[in-house]
Amino acid sequence: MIGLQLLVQVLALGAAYGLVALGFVLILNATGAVNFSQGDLVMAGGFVAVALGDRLHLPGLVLLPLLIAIMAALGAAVALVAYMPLRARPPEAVFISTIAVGIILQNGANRLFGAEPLAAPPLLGVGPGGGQVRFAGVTASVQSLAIIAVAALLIAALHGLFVHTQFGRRLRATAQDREVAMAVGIPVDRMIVGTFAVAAALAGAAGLLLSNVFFVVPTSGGDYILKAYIAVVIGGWGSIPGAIAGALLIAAFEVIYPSLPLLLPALNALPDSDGWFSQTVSTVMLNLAVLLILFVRPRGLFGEPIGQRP
Amino acid sequence: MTPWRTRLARGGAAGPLAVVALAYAVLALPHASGYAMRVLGTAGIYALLAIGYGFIFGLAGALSLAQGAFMGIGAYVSGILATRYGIPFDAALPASIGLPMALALLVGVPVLRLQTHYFALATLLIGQTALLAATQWQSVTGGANGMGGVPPISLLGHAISGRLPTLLTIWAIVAAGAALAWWIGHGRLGDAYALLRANQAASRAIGIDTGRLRMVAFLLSAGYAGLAGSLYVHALGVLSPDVLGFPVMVTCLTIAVVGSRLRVTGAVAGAVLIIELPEWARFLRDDYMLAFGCILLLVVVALPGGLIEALERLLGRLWAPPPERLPDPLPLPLTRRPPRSDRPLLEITGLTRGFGGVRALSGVSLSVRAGEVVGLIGPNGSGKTTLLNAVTGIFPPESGDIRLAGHSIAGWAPHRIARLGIARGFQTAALAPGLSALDNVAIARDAAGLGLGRAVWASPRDPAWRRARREAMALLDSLGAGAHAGVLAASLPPGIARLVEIARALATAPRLLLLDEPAAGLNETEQADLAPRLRGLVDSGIGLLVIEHNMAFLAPLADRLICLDQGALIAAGTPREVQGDPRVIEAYLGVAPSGEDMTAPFSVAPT
Amino acid sequence: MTAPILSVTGLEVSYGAVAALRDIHVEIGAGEAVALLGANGAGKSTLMKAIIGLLRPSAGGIAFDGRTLGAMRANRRARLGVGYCPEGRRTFPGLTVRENLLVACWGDARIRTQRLDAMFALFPALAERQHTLAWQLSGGQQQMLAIGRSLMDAPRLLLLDEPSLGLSPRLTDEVLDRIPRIAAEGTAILLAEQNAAKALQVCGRGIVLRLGRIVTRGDSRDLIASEAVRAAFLGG
Repeated sequence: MIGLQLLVQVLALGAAYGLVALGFVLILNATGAVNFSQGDLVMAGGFVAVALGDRLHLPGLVLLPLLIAIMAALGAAVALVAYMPLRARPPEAVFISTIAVGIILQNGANRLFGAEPLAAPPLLGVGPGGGQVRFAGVTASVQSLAIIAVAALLIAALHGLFVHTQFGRRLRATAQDREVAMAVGIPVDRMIVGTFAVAAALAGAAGLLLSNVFFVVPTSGGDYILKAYIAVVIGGWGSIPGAIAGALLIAAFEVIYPSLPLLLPALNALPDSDGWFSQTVSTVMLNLAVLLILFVRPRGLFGEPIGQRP
Repeated sequence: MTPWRTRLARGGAAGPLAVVALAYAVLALPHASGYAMRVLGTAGIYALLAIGYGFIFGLAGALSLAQGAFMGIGAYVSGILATRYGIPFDAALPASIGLPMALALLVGVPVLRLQTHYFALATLLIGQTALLAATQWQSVTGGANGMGGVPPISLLGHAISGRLPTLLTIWAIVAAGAALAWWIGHGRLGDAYALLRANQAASRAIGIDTGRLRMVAFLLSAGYAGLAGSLYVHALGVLSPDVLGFPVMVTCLTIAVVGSRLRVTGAVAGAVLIIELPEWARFLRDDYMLAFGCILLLVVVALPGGLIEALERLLGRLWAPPPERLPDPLPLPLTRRPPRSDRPLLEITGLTRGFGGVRALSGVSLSVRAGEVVGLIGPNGSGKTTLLNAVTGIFPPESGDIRLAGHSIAGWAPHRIARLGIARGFQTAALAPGLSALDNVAIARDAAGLGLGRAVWASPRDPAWRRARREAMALLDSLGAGAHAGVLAASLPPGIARLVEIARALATAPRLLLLDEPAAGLNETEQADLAPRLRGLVDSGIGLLVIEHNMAFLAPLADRLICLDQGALIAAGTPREVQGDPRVIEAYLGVAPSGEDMTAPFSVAPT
Repeated sequence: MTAPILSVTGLEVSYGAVAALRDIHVEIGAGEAVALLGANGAGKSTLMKAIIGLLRPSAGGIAFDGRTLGAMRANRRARLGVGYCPEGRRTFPGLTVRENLLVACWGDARIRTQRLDAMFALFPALAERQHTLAWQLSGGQQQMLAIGRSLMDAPRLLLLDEPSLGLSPRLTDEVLDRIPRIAAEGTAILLAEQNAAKALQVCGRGIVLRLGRIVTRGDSRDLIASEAVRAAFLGG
């Protein structure tokens, strides 16, 4: 049934975008700054996964812990170089410094891996794609289902971290009021570096998942950061559930819009219907929709999360 | 110091760099290869782009990520018009400059007022959409492959071909663009932008329409970008979607950050530096974007003001120019004493406003007459500053009315309220740190008249500006801060900064002056000095509403006192009455332990 | 006599060219409650921030329990035993009451439970709202939460900056009446207040600041009736 098929696609894509957006909003909350290199970290994660797969010949799921460790280290490095020296400056400075980091990652990847699209190893099994599964009239690739499962697991783990551990609570406290966090004993600088590490780890996981289905090129990052940014804006700037909701909305748009002629056959009668429902036009439509939201409801579809006093 | 050295020192880095450029032009250019000239031409185009970027990113201080897109749009418009319709470069200019500007206007209206992160996203989306449109709309744009055969730049029917003429044309246009940008950015408009960057609320409070100023900057940046784009496509001969890619934006940003975003010289020098870099360091040729990234990171972290600013600071140390001569003071024309009218100058009735469940103001009513000083007191959190903010239009009241001389101003925009005759001082002196005390005050003289047209046609010798500075000088003298007129605001002692801020408020020739803790940060001598000056102002017809905690300062000055507590008015009357009012004392000091209340001001110790 | 828990000598704090605090000498013994009085802008908050380490002094020194604090960062001072409840409550708005309290406790699970129970006994209103988000609490409840949070790591010195700010007189009483109890358990308290009468009621002695300097100090009883206190407020 086509609806369910599309739903699975939306969930899989939304899950991966959600991981990207989640890393982005974590850093936003902890530091108030936009990490423009988040998308390029996803790309880097994809390439590291490719490299690990080439050397170790193991399925993605087994590589995941090692990948996360490497990416966490990379995230800490980014924090130390692009954020810590700029703590006292207006947030725009970090915007620019992370744009620079993104450029460095992108061109570094180009240097190391070239411009050809590469595929990361699939989550389960070695070699391309893990086959298909049928249920309830839906055909889904094992990879898609695995993406949904892994993303859900990671998001649940993060939730568990934030709500049930002292470290997670302190991370949230640091994000909400840095000065008072210091005054209750929280080592704020270490927390921030830790947040970058967690965000980069999430980016790595997203990279592994996405780079198998969509292949990875050095320029992949640009698209991911834009998606994450949009997700966080429409979901409410700073809201973690909002970021995930935003990611799902974007995925829904990207899956459903090009499929509209399938869902509403009448649309096929439109002139140049192939052109109007291509992926590119879909992206243009998404951008226009987001611009509209910015014009009309800049605080996001669900509003900004914490009650603010002007 | 001899005059030529003074003039040279004032020009900052422009002088030495111009000398270098001239030397190059005379010595190296005639022997340069065609390739080298082409690179230099590209540098010129990027210089133009960066100069334009300086309006929105530098002057207005807003991080726009659409500059590359505007350049690309200009390139595409000019390229398509030339290849498909045979319209030459100069005839196409209205479109290649106009279309980016139109797009900037369309998008800017809703988006410029948003905070940084929303504005940046909106500009990013414009860029991406433009790129996608260019690659998809094959019939018009030639799609991903673009179009070849774009004719060279042509002016008035003459095609400019050949490397050297093209190079010289480009740089001639750059020179003109740089001069215009410098002209606009210096003088009153530049000062107004400086205040806008430093403190938006303060600029609105002197009547500056910040939304309009930002839009002007955005439009100028788009126009310059369009021009750069059309030069680019005609000089290159080929139209390709690369011109709309993000690397162009990154290059522009790198140039602006490296070159110092507030300096036109910086944009030019930065462009030459960045574009020539891959040529000088051959090994960087393939990885030039990687190099740009590293340079951008390094400069943002280590040299936030950019290279040119660092250079100027260095030159400043070697070559300190003499202090500017201060103008002769010219007192403001006296306000006519208003006819005795029963109607108060400021009337607030039933003002109510809450924030997120807290009642900041509950049904407050008060009035201020011309020639009267009303003091507003109350413990912390009682709503005093909120009241001031409501009167000056920072937010609209939920209910109740605010009238100035009978006109209701509730819900008006702050700059309109300021132009109507209400001026205010802020709790922390909100001056533009990079301007002198004198210039900070002078901006406020006729701030409403600031605009692009005047900035372009008027010169730095504009008589209106000179008069404004003389009047500002008189205002500073009248408040006892004249000796500090030439000092940069960032270096002013806080007591003086406060006086300068009051002078700025007075420069708008207000009918009503609102001051928020003017005595804070002043020592006792300065306080004793300020009070009679304020009294003098009030005697000439202004109404004054002043928030203060310092009773020694306020009580002798005020005709009436009003006390707020938790958003409500709890006492009003003469200073003596209010100071002795038991509710006021309780609000401040609390009720004493044994039920003894501390009403009697000079009671004896309890037993 | 045992060594004082807090010893401030010759402290000077400046904001740029302005001296916000000058020539400050304060000593507080273990379990003592001292009121820090003065009008707005007198320097009370500045002194507290300097003690907890959120501001760097330009001259003078601070010693806690005999140990010179020097340039030690705020989070380390907190771990050493200095509790701080900032002006304006400043609870972590997106955390629940329970979470606000937990983040400030650095003991193991058993100690955390113990302290939580103690805190809920001290402030029953908070116990009822354990899982409410802090930004949804009323002003008084937020104040109690902020004080509770600053006690969660059993500090030996508690800095309270204007806890009565924005609270009604009744709530102020409720909040400040708990101070003698806290002091009795061995925690020294420095209470900065504009509300002089109440502060002197719950503290044994007081220090009066004016324009950054100490103008009077002494036992609460003497200060309550004194001219200097009155002058420091309503007289400017």
